Amino acid sequence: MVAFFGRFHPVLVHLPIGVLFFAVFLYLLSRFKKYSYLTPVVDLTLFWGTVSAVAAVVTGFLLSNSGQYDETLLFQHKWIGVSTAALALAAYVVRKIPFFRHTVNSDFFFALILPFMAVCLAVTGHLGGSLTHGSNYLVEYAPVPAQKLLNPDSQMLTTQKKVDLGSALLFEDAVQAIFRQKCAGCHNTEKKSGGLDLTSLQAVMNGGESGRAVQPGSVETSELIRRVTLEPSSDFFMPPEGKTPLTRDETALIEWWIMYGAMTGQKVAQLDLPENLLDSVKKTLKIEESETTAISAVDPQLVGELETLGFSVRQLSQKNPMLDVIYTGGQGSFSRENLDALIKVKDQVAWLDLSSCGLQDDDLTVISEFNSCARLILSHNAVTDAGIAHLTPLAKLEVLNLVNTKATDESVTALTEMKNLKSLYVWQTGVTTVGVERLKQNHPELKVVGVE
Amino acid sequence: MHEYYTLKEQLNRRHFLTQTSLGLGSAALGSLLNPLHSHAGEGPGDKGILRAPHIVPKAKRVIYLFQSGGPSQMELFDYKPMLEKMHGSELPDSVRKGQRLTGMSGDQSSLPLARSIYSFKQYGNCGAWVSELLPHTAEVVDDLCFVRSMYTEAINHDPAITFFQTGSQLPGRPSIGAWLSYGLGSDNENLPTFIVLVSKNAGGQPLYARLWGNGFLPSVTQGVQFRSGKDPVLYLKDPEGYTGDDRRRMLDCLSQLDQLQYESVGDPAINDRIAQYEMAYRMQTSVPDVMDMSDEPDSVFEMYGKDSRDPGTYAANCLLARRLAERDVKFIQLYHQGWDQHGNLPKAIKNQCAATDQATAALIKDLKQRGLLEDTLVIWGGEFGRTNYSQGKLTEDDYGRDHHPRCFTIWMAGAGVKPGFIYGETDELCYNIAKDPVHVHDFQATLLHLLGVDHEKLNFKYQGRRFRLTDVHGHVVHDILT
Repeated sequence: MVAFFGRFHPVLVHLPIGVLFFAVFLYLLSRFKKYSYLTPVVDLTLFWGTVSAVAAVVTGFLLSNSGQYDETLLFQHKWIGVSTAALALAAYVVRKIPFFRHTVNSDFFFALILPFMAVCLAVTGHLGGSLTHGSNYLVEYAPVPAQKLLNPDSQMLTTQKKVDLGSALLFEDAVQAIFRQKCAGCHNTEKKSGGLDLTSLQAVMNGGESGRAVQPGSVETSELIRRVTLEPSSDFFMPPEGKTPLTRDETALIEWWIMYGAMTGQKVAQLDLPENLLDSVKKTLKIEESETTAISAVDPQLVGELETLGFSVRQLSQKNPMLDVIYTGGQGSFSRENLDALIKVKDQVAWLDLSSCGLQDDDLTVISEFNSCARLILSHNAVTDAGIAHLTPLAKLEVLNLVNTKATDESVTALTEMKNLKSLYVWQTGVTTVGVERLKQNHPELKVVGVE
Repeated sequence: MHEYYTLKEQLNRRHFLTQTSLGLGSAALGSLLNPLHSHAGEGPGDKGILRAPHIVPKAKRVIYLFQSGGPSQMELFDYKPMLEKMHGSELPDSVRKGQRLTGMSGDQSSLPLARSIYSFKQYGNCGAWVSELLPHTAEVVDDLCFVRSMYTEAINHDPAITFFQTGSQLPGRPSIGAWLSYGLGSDNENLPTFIVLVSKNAGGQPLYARLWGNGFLPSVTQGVQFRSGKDPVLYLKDPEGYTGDDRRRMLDCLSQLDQLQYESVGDPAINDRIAQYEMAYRMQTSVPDVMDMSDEPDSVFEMYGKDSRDPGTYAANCLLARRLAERDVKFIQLYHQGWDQHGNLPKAIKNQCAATDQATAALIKDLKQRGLLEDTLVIWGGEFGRTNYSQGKLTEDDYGRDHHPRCFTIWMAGAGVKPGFIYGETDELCYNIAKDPVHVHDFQATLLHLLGVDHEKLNFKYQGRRFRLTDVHGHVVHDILT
């Protein structure tokens, strides 16, 4: 029963906050002649404010017995709360009870008590918020200078540091970010729901009332995973109703972390995470956003221009402004003019399909400037080794299609320099097994298709 | 028609201002009538309603080799030695678990298990089991991703194939190609975004135009069926004595008239009509160019088989599909009927395979060597599988198989799917799924995902609620994706 009524404290506590502050406001207003008619309203408001404050204190006492809160914070909140109710009562008594009205300078005392009550109310209200959401709740997303000012030594600040996938750590950056976003509201050092704190590795390992939260190496016996993968309607499902549940990818990421030993210091890039989890990590760390905001979307007018010239231009995805460009104008209609127009977007072209465009070798010098190009299709053009050699500056190139060009084994030297190349298509060219062998010596992972 | 005229009156400014509620209501009605703002099929820059995919796509085009009739997985890809052992014995109830049978074999006095008369071997680095009926497909298994655990609810052809194509067993919804055309638009304005090729050298269960229809989506998104034969599109050539010089002017004037009509009436189908005329005009040059096979070396025709020189056959359609893919047609669907072997299965399926195996494998090889497999997705499969028991009399060398929705095999190849990979398992008797079931909606969700579309986010409001290809189901099967 105690627990049942105690849980009404968060419900009731908002009443004294609203009503008592309103009482103060009305009092200040009533001091003006124009609003002097409000004087009896102040009494009424203060009365009900006091009643609700007392009810809040009573339920607060009942709730404090549940033992999940940080002791210091609880102590402060409790007694300042009691003081608030006491001061509210005192203010009311001084103002209304005839005995006091006629013996002391009631107005003076009232005006003295009221500000103290207001301050206590504000402080205890803030402490109450800290108890439920953690003492960094208000400042967590504040601009950094404000954060430094208000909370210089807290460990829960969101790290605003730019993390890139190469240096991201599995626990510290990715898993902890998930805990922070979705769990630490109730599982932090100040408020430990179920006795569990999830803000540091040690705390996670310590577990809570239900025992170990995480069993390194074993997903089945890790209570944390069990709780987040229950039926959402279950009483034990975490996070509880009202809070955003973990996504499938986030759960999978924590499972991977547990399978890898639930340790710190593991680099994401060195683990063999599947693609969808890597995407999820990037999303959690907001990496992709910062990468793509570096390159802004291309000017639509420019796109229109390119389309009149026969190009199909589209963004790779809604969030990724890099471009996928195909020349669809048909053979015979491609000219230098088209290339010169395309150059204007050279930094943003990721995929470029110029097959059957009648390209010549010197056209490839222009193409070598498309430094962001990851996929280049030059099939069915009469370009030779000399032209292909121009393509070496394309550091990001991963897929190169040279089908039905005049490439020969001579191009191998140039192709070897493309360190990021993953797939090469050389059907109907002069490239032979000899050339492919040489290429594979420097690039064992390269997939070469088209030579028997 | 009358309502449209009154609508026009109601959109008069004075009416709108003085009768705001009615004005807002008609504005809403207006948006219902024209939700597209004429985006689809506008030619250059037609990027579909999404403008760009939700995520970076792995595939940019799809070639769907639909094997209509329900190919028998036990004779092709799903090797079941246990069926050999239990050949002739009754289908155990513990396996069947009371599942409904069709009206065709449900009345049989016995349901004898039938082993496959064709032998199986393992091929490639992945060790996939392929029967002797598919020697060419066996050569390319290291490029294929088999899903052995497909299942569906539909037990008969029409609902089943409608289910695969539209996401619902009841007709009326748009097909996959229509959804993609609506969502992503076209990469090549000169050809339709969604093209359908039906083999002429096959017959069997009927196919309907609504299987590649647009449902409630704008009619420009529907599949365009090329005729099976020398002239895939009729009347492309100008008639005798007409040079076609003034056709462009004629079309421009017609477009102006249609535009006037649209402004007064507001029917979005008018815009679709304009778009279709324009597309037909562009197809006058683009289609003969696609059909002109003179630039194909003989080695290519040999690879696809002798049928490939005969336009309209499955092999010729596969070759045409490759040519269309080269020209960035987004969704190319082939249909080959005749897999519905209720009886005389051994002979019939052998003929089916003979007609399709070489060309299917050739398509994979051809796309791969040209570098197109990098961003083209190829799918092979039917609408359901076949039963492990024999329909009709089971003899030494003859048996039939009835429809079986509970487990069947499809394979995918190309962009974004793991090559040389086998996903899912059926039980020893090939009746139920043992591991990793994949529902039709999951397959559709995965297909859309490969094209960069989140299946939950591409939807269309119609009759009061939002529809999507996967309706309210479907999960992307990440395990088969690279």
